[in-house]
Amino acid sequence: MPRVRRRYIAFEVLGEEPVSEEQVARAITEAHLKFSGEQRFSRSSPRIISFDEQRQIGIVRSYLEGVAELRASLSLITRIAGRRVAVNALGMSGTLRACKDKFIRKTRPKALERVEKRYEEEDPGKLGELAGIKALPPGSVVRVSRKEFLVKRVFNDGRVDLESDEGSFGFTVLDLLGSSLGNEG
Amino acid sequence: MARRFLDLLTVDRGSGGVDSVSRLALVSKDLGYHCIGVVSKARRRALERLGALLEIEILPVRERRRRGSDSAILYASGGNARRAASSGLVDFIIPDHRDSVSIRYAAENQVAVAYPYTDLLVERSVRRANVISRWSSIHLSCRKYGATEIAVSFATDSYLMRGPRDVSWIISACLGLGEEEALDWTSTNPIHVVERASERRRADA
Repeated sequence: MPRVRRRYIAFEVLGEEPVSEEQVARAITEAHLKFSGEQRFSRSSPRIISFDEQRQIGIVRSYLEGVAELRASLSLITRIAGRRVAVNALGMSGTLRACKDKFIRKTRPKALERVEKRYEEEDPGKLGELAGIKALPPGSVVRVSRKEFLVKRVFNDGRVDLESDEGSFGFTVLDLLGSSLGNEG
Repeated sequence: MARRFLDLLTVDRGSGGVDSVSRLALVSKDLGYHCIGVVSKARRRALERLGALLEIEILPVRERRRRGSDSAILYASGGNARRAASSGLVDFIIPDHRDSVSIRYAAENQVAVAYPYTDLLVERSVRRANVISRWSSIHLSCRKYGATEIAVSFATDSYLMRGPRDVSWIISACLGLGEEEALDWTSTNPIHVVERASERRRADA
């Protein structure tokens, strides 16, 4: 019997709220079935191997034959359990061990980590301010561009979701720090 | 040599989107982009300062509606695309799928043709199939006339942005392109658009 060749795709979920492994598995199956159809779905037969609910990073296994369509389907996911998300593929590998080594254990430093490192060397005061902003609890009132907003959530990677009576808006800790634009950007 | 990735069309909060420029830039950097184009009312110097902080190039982009020179990358869409492509005064167009004439003009004037992939993300079922069908039609005309093709997010919201390699997989799956050719749509081809824009601005000056 010929050996079935598999691929392991590491991915991260960037969303408004953390999602569970079960919700991710269901979303991947539904998205892939809708995009590729039943017959092509069978060529990849995706299966979640692991999902770290803390870091929102996981690995999905696929047969080599249908891996291209599975990757496209992952990218087309915009909602999981009613919450807005973006599924970002970190990379793909031929073995589970290589996938974990390359994409799960070693992740690239995020943009905010590099900014923090720079502040640490050049302006430690701003680093302290950033830490204060990152610790803001949900429901805090903040002012950005002369308007008041309520904090919905502050993410470790620097994203900040705010809301006002006009709706929900995406900002970053840099907007709250006022160091980046200081205007309506 | 490592590829340089660009997303030449995003929209910030002040121009009809929901996210600030810094949010769009931060997420783009984390997704692996080296340069983004933003439709924004923010000043050019402020964009440069933010770009330097986040280590990503941020280029101002505007939709061309009136005549006259501009310091940004210019695009035209829908009904304005044909006139803009024929004059060569824009850097890329988002044409209607039935308008192959615009694509011919675009090819003649080295104006790129852009595919906004947000359309594909927000639509479902038959509507999504229609988007793919429209893309196929535009792609056939681009092949026929030799127009440069680029993928842009046209994202008003950072949750609608995808990494350059993910975009290449989407394009590859929808249009049947090879992986390397699809990657050119977010790297080599948009670089030509930026170079053309700076040449156009020099000529305007």
